[in-house]
Order: sequence, then C-alpha cells, then structure tokens
Amino acid sequence: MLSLKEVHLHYGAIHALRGVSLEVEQGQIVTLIGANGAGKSSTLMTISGILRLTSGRIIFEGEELTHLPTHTIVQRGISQVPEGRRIFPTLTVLENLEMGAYTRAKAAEVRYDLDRVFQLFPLLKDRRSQFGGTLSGGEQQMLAIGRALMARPRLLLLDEPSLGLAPKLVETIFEVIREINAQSTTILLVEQNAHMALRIAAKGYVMEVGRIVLADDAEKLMANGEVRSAYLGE
Amino acid sequence: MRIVSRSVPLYRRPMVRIILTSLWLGLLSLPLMIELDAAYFGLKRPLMVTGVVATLGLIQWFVSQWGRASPVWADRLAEAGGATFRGLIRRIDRRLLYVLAFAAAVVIPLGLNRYYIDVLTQVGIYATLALGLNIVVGLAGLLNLGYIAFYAVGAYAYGLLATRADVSFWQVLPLGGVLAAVFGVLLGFPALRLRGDYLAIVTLGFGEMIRIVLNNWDSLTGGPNGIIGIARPSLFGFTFSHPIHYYYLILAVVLLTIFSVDRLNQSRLGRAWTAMRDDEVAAEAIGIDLVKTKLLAFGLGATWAGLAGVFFASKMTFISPESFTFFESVIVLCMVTLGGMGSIPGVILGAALLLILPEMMRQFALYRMLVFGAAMVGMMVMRPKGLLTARRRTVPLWRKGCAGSTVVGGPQATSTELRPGPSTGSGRADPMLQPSKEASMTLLETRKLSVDFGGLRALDMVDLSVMAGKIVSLIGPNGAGKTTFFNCVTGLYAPTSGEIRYRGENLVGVKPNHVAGKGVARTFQNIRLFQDMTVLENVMVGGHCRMHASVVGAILRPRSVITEEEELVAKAAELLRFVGLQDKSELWASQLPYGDQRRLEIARAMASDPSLLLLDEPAAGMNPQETNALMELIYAIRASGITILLIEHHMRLVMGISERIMVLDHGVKIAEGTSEEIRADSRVIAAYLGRESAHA
Repeated sequence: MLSLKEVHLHYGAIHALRGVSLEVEQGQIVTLIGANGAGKSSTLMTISGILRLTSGRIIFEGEELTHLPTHTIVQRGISQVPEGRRIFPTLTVLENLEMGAYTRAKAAEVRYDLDRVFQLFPLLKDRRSQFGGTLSGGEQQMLAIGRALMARPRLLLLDEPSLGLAPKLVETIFEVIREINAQSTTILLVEQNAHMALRIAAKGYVMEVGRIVLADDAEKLMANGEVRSAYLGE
Repeated sequence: MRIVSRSVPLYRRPMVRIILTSLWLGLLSLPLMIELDAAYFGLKRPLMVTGVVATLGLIQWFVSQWGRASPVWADRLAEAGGATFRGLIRRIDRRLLYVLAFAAAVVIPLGLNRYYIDVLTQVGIYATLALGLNIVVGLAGLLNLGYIAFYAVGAYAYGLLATRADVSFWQVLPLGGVLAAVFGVLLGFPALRLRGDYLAIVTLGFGEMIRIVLNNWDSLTGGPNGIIGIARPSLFGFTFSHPIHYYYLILAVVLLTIFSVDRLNQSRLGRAWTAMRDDEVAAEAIGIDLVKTKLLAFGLGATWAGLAGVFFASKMTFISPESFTFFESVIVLCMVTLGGMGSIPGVILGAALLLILPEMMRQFALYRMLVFGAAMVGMMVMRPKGLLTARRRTVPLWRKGCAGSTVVGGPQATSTELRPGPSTGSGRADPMLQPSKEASMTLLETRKLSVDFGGLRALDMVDLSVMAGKIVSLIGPNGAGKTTFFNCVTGLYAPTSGEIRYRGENLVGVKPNHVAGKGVARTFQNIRLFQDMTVLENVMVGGHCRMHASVVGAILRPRSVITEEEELVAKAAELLRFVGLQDKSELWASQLPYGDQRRLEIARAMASDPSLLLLDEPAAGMNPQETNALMELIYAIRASGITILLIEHHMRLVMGISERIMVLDHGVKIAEGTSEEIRADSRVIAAYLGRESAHA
C-alpha cells in the first residue's frame, strides 16, 4: 500500500534519514520503534510531506507522493496524528473535528464520519462544545485521533499516541487503535512504548540513527533478544 | 517501472511558474526600468523589458535546476563554502577585524566632502538608535514601534535646556540619557503584561502621544515651529562647527554604545533577556524577575535614544516634531531587522545600508520607496534573520579563565557535594541513603489547597506533605490536577483557597521568581528550554537568582563580577557533567535529542541550588534504557541532598524509586502510601492504573 524507497532527509547539515525503505501492506498495523532521535517522527513527517525528502521516493497505492504538498497527500488518503497531539486550542472539539474534514466536499459523508468518531470516543460527543485547549491530555489525544479520522484516511500515521498518558488511558487508546484498524484503516504507528506497539502490530521496523536496522514480524521482534534488551527494557 | 503521476495543475508546473513570476517581477520593476532607461540607456523600451523578464526567468530556471539536480551536492557545497568562510573568519582574530573597522571609521571621513561626512554622521546617530532598539527588540524580544519618542525626549531635553537655561551640551548629554530611560520605564509599566502585537500597538500609541504633545504644547516646545538656535557644543573654548567634529563626536558615542551593549549582552542581564524572549514562563520559574528585567530592557534601550537625541539637537541647532514621526521608528526597526536582530555588527550594517543606499540612489527619488520595499521583502524571504545573524557567543568570555582546570577560586557548595554523573558509570547512590540533619523535617506542606478554573475545580482540598530528603511521587489520571499542583507551588497559579508552606514559610501569593529564590526548582511537562542559547548557557541562566551583578557592574565588569561569572561557568560545567552532557555544552539546546533535553532541563533547575526539585513527567517520551538512566540520575540528585517531588506516568519508574506516592483524581487526593500500598489500592486501580499495569 505504502512503500518508501531509499528516503534521505536533511535538516540543514544534519542527515536525519539515511536511506529508509519500508513497506506497509493494506489492512496491517505496522510499527516503527527506536530510540529518541532515531528518525521515527521524521519518517512520518516525510510521508505526510511536512518535511521534504532530499532523495528517494514514496509510493502510495501505486502513485508517486514524493513531491506533493501535504494537503494533497491528505486528500489521497493519508492523515497523521502528530506527536504531542497539536490540537487547535481555541477551537471547540466539534470545530477541531470539522477541521479534520477540511479537504472534503461531501457533507453527508462527513456527517457519517463524525458519527463514527463519536462512536469511537463517546467522551468527545459530550465535550463537543468545549474548547480544545481545556481538554486533559488523554482527551486531547482522542481528539487528535478523531480529527485525523475525519479526513477518512486509508492510511493513518500515529506518532506516539501514548505520550504522557496515564497507564489506564494508554490501554484504552491502544484498544481504539485496534478498533480503527479493524474498520479497515491501515496504520503506521510510532511508539516509545514498544511493548504495547509490538503487541498490536503485525510487522515492526526498528530504527537507529536514521536507518532501518531490523524488520520482521512483530512476534519475532518481541522474541528477539536485542530488541528485548534495548527497547523493551528487559 | 513508471509510476503514474496524477495530473499536476497547470499553475504548479515549474515552467509555467517561472514564466508567471518573471512577468510579475518584470511588471513590478517596470517604473524603475523606465526611469533607468530614460536616465542611462536610451534603449528601445520593449526590448529592454523583454530582456529583463527573460533574465529574471533564466535566473529562476537556473536556481530551480540547481536545487533539483542534486540537492545533497548543493548542500554540501554550501556547507563547505560556509565552513571555509567561517574558518577564515576564525583564523583572522575578531579583534583585528574590529580594529580595522575602527581605523576605517576614523580615516575614511577625512577624504570625504562635507555632504558625505554629514551622511556618515547620520549613520552614527541611527546606529546608536538602532543599537538601543536592539536591546528592546533583538535581545529582550519586546516589539517597540514608538521608539523614536525617546529620541525626541533627548532632543527636546537639550533644545529646551540650552535655549532657556543655557545648560551646556556636556551636562545635558547624560541627563538626556537618564530622562529617556525614565520615559522608557514609564512606558514599560503599562506594557508589562503585553507581548507581540498588543505591545506593538501600545508602544505605537506612546510614540504618537509624545509627538502630538510636542506639536501642540506651543508655550513650551514651540509647537510645529520647533526650537531654533540651539547652541552647538563646545569644549575648553573649542566650538564644534565643522561636520567632521560632529562625526568624531558621534563616533565616540557609537563606540560607547557598542561597548555597553556588548557587555550587557554578555552579562547575567543579557542572558536573562534572551531567556525571557525565548520563554517567559520558564524564565520566571528559574528565578528571573520579569518585571525588573523588562523595565531594564525598556529603560536601557531608551537611554541610547536619549543620547542620540541630544546629539541630534546640537548638530541641527533646530528641532521640530517633524523629525520624530512614526516613520522614523519604522526605519530604525528596519535597520535592526535588516541587519540582524541581536547582532551588533549587523545592526550597524543595517543602519549604514538604509542611510547610504538611498543617498546613492538620489536620482530615482520617486522610486526609492519602491526599491526599499522590494529590498525589504526580498531580504526577509532570503535571510529572515537579517544580514548578519546573531548567535550568542557559544563560548562565554570567561571560559578562558577556567578552561581545563577545575581549580577556580571561590567556594562552590553545589559542585563539591555532587557525585559523578550516572553516565560515567560509577554512580548509583545508595537509595536508602538519608541526608543527615533535615531528614525528619517537613519541607513542603499544603493544607486544604483548592484551585478553581471558572466552574471547574482543578484541585479540591488537597493536603500533601513532602519530607526532606525523600523521593515522593504524585500520580493520577490526565487532568487530575497534578501539574496544577506544581503550578500552585511554584507561584504560576494562585490557589483559590488553602495554604502552601515551604520550610514553614507561606508560598501563597509569592511570585515564581521568588519561589525559585527560596529553593524550589522545577522542570516542565512539555520541555521549556531556551532554544536560542547554548546548552551551557541554559544551565547558567539557572544560576541567575543566585547572582548579584547589577547593570553598572555588567558594563564596568569589576573583579567581583568576573569572579562570579567564572564560578557560574564552573558550576554549570559541573552540572552538565553530573547529568552526562559534558560533551554537548557548546551545542544549541534545540539541537539536543529529546532525552538529552530532559536532562538539560534538570541541570538548569539544579543550577539554582534548590532544596526541592519538582520534576514534571521527566520520563515522557523516553525509551526503557533512557528511563533507567533517569532513575540513576534521580537517585544521584537525592544523594546530593535535594528532595524530589515527581509527576510521572511511567509506573516502573514511579514504583521503583518513590518512597511515598500520592494519587490525585479529579483534584482530590484518593490515596497515599508506599508503592505496595498504592499498587494494591482498589480505587487507584479503578481510576488510574487499570488492571494490567497493577500487575506489571
């Protein structure tokens, strides 16, 4: 569905991605794990076109995404839940969600998707007229995911959805991710919480200093001694 | 395999874009071309227009090809070029450059006619103004659109005193500076709570007010007619009359300004300004008095405008409100922005360019503004940070004094107590180690602490106490009020009711900088480092509230100030070693990876010699390895005698190191106890832990 081929990215003098190649297949949850600064978020940002790759190519559903602007990429069916949630604090919950559907024209479909988001996160329905900035961290994360879903993506990029969340909420969020996936949205998930991530993913990639160093089925990665000691803290 | 590319809209095609922009640029420059054509070339107009448009197109095409063909290669080339240039600059001693510039400034005017000497004198006046404004806008980050008012204050001070009281230039010069500083502080007061756009509007209003008062107070200021016959300065019977006399006088003023502004920038105060510009909340929490620091910026910035004003009045011997319009403020601001905010050579260059270039383009008088506007737009697109970008000196001046050796004079309470950082591997302190005396004392205590936000009760009658020498954790669901609790203790929020006592002293209503002064330091959930400062300087700012250097001390730099700075650098270096960042002290804070930023924030907090350290989610976004290192670090901090209160969601960390845990839910304390007790508490499991984590 999505494939990255030898993607390089530079920030000024810093060579952040050094030839990243990866594949995401339709219907899967694929996770990208690795230390801070390994390039996981940069990879997601490059896919969604926020960062401009210096060489390599990105292909989504057989079409080249490489030099397209971000809003076009969203229209093609990829939306991102950014690290740290980045909700619009002075818009209401409902307006935040509506912003997620900004690129879409069909009102009926948008209404349908809004219902779907409210079904996934009933809490957001109760708070729909509250300002985004007044939500707690967990609610904001739900809102950020909901907003991304409003673009009706076929591929959802999730950047550290568990960041700063209480343990119980982390479990809830991961359940929701699984549910979203079950409703036929493919997911590329970046996580520090490698434990949880590998548990729900089909496939995992391990990144170190801008490179993919390991790629395998999630179960096999879980059993891998190096991964266990480096990323699962055992 | 060829990948199908969906049709790119017409206007996005590179060729179409190049043609369109060339036509547009050509259209914009049409009036100028006509003027040039008439003045010089006499070419056939259509031919020339076509030529220009074609050239513009070619340039764009070339640039786009260059960018696309091999960007990595272009980057490398630019990098190599930059490196060579920087290497060259580094090899030439900076001081040599300054001496050369100074020599040029002294010698060049000797060969010029009166007209150009006047222009250079004008450059001097505006350089002084721009350097002053640079303190306010460039260093402290407070946008001021009415800056020219202070210039007017200086000018009218001399104009009035010279014509009415016959006071001499030399007496009014310092007085004008002081008077302008007073006005600066007066403007500062109402503007204290404002930033950005709002501040700009207030200062704009202030500038206009001064001008209108000068224009209408006929009896004092002479109204629109201004003041005439202002005495020229004289010294020991020698009267300044030739332009070159004025030139050297303003040169002296400029040198004085450079000297002072540079030293201020390198001082404790300069660091405080930069810190405040980067992040007010973090600056206040680290012990910087925002009120004082902002007023000092307004006052010290205005001083130079006052001096320039006195000089201006004496040179022109005539002043009127016309010289102090809003447009002048804008020009000075442009000089600062164009030259490079915060950079002294940049600001002077900006002043020189904006005054000399228009003089050279006198022929096209009509189009000067057009060219000026276009140049500003072009500049901001290509070099948004100005011609010469300001980089805070990465190696502070004082570094020489203590490079390599740890033997620096003066007692260093903190550094001697510290153990080697965890990264050196030697370090895990015994978790059960208790710092001696204070062991049984209650360090922090809250009673019935409540906070309301509108209708929402964020904290509800929270009783909490932290014993000295312990590691205590505060956990609870998101939105339970944990960070609110930190904000109350550190003075960022005022509690609605209840008490906060630290060492028995009341903390309610105490300003954040004073809380820091009392020995409570904190880190932030969403890391708040000073991005425009080096790693070392970030830690140095942390020591701000333990230092004493005044404004005068910063400029004159007596021995005591130097010693203080040297000790601070040594202490900061020690702290960086403690958290394992010793090799990164010269990097920009923003260049550090996430985990390092968290550790830097801890080092910064420790630089204020706290007794109580509040850590807000230090392990967020850290992987298991980094979390382990963080645990070691927290033990080491406690071993150095600092009590720790921790907010964290990482249960392995919390359960592993806390001696006492308190749980908040919806602003209410629902449990308190040891990790075993908390883990078994059914309310905590229901509200927070969830079943799986309780077993983990």
